[in-house]
Amino acid sequence: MSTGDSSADTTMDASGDAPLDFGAVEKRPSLAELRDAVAPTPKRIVGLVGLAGLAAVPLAASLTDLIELIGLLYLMLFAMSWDVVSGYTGQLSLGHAFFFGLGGYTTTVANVQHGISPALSIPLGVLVAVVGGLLIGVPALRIRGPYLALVTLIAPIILLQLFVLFSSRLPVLAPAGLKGQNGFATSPAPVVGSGSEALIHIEGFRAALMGQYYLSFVLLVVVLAVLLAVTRSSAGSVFTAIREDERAVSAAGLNPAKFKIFAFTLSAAVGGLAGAMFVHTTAGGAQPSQLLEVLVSVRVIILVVLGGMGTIVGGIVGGVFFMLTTLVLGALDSAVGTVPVLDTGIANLRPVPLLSIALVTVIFAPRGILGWFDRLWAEHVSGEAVPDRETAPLVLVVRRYRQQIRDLGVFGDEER
Amino acid sequence: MDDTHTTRTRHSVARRRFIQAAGTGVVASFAGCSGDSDGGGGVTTSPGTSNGTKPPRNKFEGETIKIGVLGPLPQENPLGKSMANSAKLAAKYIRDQEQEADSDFLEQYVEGSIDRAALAKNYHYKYEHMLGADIEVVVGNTEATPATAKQEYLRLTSEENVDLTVGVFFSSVINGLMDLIAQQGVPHFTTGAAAPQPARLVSQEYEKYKYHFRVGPFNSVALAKAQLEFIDLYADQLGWNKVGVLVEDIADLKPFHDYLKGRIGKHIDTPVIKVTSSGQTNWTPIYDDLESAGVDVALVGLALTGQSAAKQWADQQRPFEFGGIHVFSQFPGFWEDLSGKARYIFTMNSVTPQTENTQFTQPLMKAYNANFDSYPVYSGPITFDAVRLFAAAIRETGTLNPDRLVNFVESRRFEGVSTIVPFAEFTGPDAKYAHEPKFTCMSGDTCDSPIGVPLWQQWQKGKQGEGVEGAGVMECFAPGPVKTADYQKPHWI
Amino acid sequence: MVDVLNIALNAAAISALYALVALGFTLIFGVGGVLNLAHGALITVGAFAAQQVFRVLGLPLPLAVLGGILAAGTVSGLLYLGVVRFIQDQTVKVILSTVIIGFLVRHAVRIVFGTGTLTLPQLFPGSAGILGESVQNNMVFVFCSSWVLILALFALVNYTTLGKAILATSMSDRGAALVGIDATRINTYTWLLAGMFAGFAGVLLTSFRSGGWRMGLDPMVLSFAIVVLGGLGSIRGSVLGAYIIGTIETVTVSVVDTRLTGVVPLLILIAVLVVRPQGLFGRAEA
Repeated sequence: MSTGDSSADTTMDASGDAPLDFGAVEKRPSLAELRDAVAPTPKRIVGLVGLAGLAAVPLAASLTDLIELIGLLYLMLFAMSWDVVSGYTGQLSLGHAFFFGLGGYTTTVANVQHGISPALSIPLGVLVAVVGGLLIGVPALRIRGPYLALVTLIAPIILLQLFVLFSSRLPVLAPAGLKGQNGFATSPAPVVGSGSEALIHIEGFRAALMGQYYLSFVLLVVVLAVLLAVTRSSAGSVFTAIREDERAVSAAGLNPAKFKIFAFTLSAAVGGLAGAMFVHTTAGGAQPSQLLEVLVSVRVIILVVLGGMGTIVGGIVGGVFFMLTTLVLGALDSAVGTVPVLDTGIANLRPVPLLSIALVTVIFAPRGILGWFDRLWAEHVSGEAVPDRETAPLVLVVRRYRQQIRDLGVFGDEER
Repeated sequence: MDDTHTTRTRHSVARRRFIQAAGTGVVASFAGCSGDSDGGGGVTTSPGTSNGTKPPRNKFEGETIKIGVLGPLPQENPLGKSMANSAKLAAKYIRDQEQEADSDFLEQYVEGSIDRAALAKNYHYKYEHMLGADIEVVVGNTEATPATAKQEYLRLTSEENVDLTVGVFFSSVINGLMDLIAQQGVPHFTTGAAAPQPARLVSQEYEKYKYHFRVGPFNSVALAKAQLEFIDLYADQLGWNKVGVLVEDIADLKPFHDYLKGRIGKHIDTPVIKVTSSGQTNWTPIYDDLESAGVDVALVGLALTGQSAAKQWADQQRPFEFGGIHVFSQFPGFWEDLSGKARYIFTMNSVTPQTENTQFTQPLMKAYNANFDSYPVYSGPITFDAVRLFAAAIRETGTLNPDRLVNFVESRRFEGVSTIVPFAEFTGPDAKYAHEPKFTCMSGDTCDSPIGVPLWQQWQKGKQGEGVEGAGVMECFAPGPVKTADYQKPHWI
Repeated sequence: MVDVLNIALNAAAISALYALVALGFTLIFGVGGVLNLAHGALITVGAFAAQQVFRVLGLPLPLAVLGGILAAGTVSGLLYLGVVRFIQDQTVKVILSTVIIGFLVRHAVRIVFGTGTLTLPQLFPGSAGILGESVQNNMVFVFCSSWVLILALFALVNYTTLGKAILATSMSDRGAALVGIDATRINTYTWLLAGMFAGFAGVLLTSFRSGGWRMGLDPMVLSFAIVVLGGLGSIRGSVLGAYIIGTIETVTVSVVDTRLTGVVPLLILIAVLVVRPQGLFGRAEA
């Protein structure tokens, strides 16, 4: 966490990073600020340790574990892409699977049905996803909050219905169809694989899987770096400002629309890239249950909610937490067997435990694990005050207003 | 292959006798069954390719052959449960046969009442064993999703080192597994999924995907042929002059629709042929159309939407009959699910708890019921067959090499092995849909070597004294040899 | 052969059902500005409760219907009082919470009641003749009850004190607070009412086709399509939206191509969003 500069500005943006100073958005960063940006804060050290852990895990993993881990990496990538637009700009997307599906299916069709090499089909997938991002982002300017959430929820459902409609044939674009509910039976050529059609050839199935894992890991780190750079930049500050009060941003002379679309397309690009790369691994495939279902979108949201919205890193933290709960439940399942009253195995309870934790987090700890960590650190170690999302300016105003109304004693018979 | 040594040794014959005598009724019923028939568990080689020498009887002594079952939620879901339980029953059956073989013939040989040649012959043809190997079943849970299925498949093939995988019901799951199956090179017998894509892949890229076979059910082209055959044989009898066809728009049923569309008009007057969406929930306008066209029966091909379609047909008491391929009514629990509204619905099926497709069908049903207090869904008998087919292949070839086993299975006709068909044969690498069960015809009236399936079942109210009062029974009304009851027209027509 | 009367009757019937499905959802949003994404779960609760009353307790069908209505209403009210009330100013939290709760309820139902199918007998078996066409009694009932409820709601909102309080709160709960209206109480009543609508819809859906633990998702997508079309928060818009979607769907199935059923409402949605994103009667600002 940056130690904050000495600006007298008291308006703290809720993510707890450098205070928002509207007048200074276009200023070049000072040396102090740059030093802060790369200083080894405790959070960053933990983060690096975590990444190192993620890098080391495959060495001890079985083939089955490797598949699961590769899937996890992509889940984290999906989560980070969601955070960019929903965590930062506050435009809640409930159907981010739309972008994963666009990316994954485009590259599959291009590679399997048109013979285009992954080196070209993956960027094509990203491009299509970006177009999708614009398709949602531009109309999104005219609609707000709940309405946008609804629209984004429906987008992947519409896409799936179109895939079903054109399951055996889509003239020109997909001559063998988009395969509907069954999904593709052939995977596109892997980027890293043991077969001859792989872009990068590695002998041996296990070695190839590890190669896939590390490639995906590198992708994760690169995407993480890029997104961190963007969100810690001045553009990122504007994103956060838009979430808090869009009118204030306009009043400051900035065009929120430009930034909102930027966020959407960046998010779509990352999501599409992740989706495209995913289907080129053994763990992924162009199938509705892996790329398009409502559960995919919801799972991504839960990961970020748990990790911490508006942090980018929250997606990774949430992913680790998700993996831990899976392991714990698996162990409990072997140990305990059947739950008495409900008469079912512990594993069958999934995803209830994770959902419950997520619900509690949303309501009581909206800054997720990272926020909790921040607070813990602040209270017990550094002694600094940590800005609380609950005290964002607008919320404070409304709360004060309501309290005043109540204090007026207008309701004679109501409980206080 | 792992060389796991079993603790079983071949000493006391007397001890085996005791085990045999003390065995459950389950074992006895099987034993009696195969003992009655000559050539039970036999494998006919296709013409002119008999290879004479048989592998040594105890070639795999001390080894364990593992079968991996991939089912959707095998603890709760009836489909998955049927698969897992049936695989275990098959393993038990083979294991018991092994013991049986030891006790009976070895004893006789020792006593001198049969010679070495007779010993060899009987070991191979009378009993379904795996050349001395023990057999173990490992169950994997696909959770009906491709992602988990991939993990479970790798666990079974790489960690458990199974020699065969069976199962899989959902089309999306088998589609997601095809590349892994190709990668691992372990034979896989699909025993539930009806997706057409795997067979096409085997046909298009044979060397890569050849490890995949579908033991059952029949693909929808075969079902379409059967449907036309049925109309030729029975439409007059049933008083059908006009039919309406409704087929759901899914990949599994597309071959069915395409085959019927161009041809059914030549067999019977078909004023209406519709493709319905999987999102169809309100069938009233469609039924209105059928009614105004004056059809006698709605011939359907419905998988995901079967329940709402059936309920609305029954609730609305439409003046036409209803059936065809109705996946939901193939489940024993369907009657209860619709609280009796399943009555009169007919469908094609491979086998029901009542039918006697082969000598093995009823013993399996009874054994299943005795062990698991319920009857299996059709994926169960198919899985049972799959395991025994594999055992037959091992027994005949004496090898565990996947490529050679694949060659053997795709080129032979298996007689007296299946609970569903009198002989099982697979389409070859050149067929459009490769490594699929070969369909000849269902009735002896149509061709020389009918396989007798699919059979046609109808849900009827149970007769007095049959199980739970008023409960539904899946009666079979065609073809002749497997018939258990007459077809009933809905009482409101 | 296009039978216009037949299509009209079918469209009317199914649209009435769709209106009931969407009504509860619109009510909550219109009054409280809350996007209740647990709406589908409420529908499921109503269906399962009715089934339990009917099959497990063995009580007559009308009581089962009542049971479903009350159960869903109760759950809805508890949802508001227990969770939403405290976070209703924070759009993000509310949306996320209701999504999660919706999934929680869905899976709770699965764990407790299993993955089996849910069916209820028809409420009114048999058919009647209307203008020469044979119509299912059940559909007549759905049509009539739908309009009775819609008109009752209209009367409630426009002619009773409670209704006026609801209107006031929907326009501005700050303003309403100023004249002595307790938003919490009004919102509670609204959620109870919305839940009851959802429960009734759930019972009808189950008796018409069948149900299960997953039954909530499709009606919810349908509700979204309807409210997007009609305008978020407008009851008038929801009714109109339901009839538009129901009619176009029926016409498509009967006349155009049965394969398109699943896609039609969604394509209408896209068209509306492109042309007029706030819907027919909606406000541009959510």
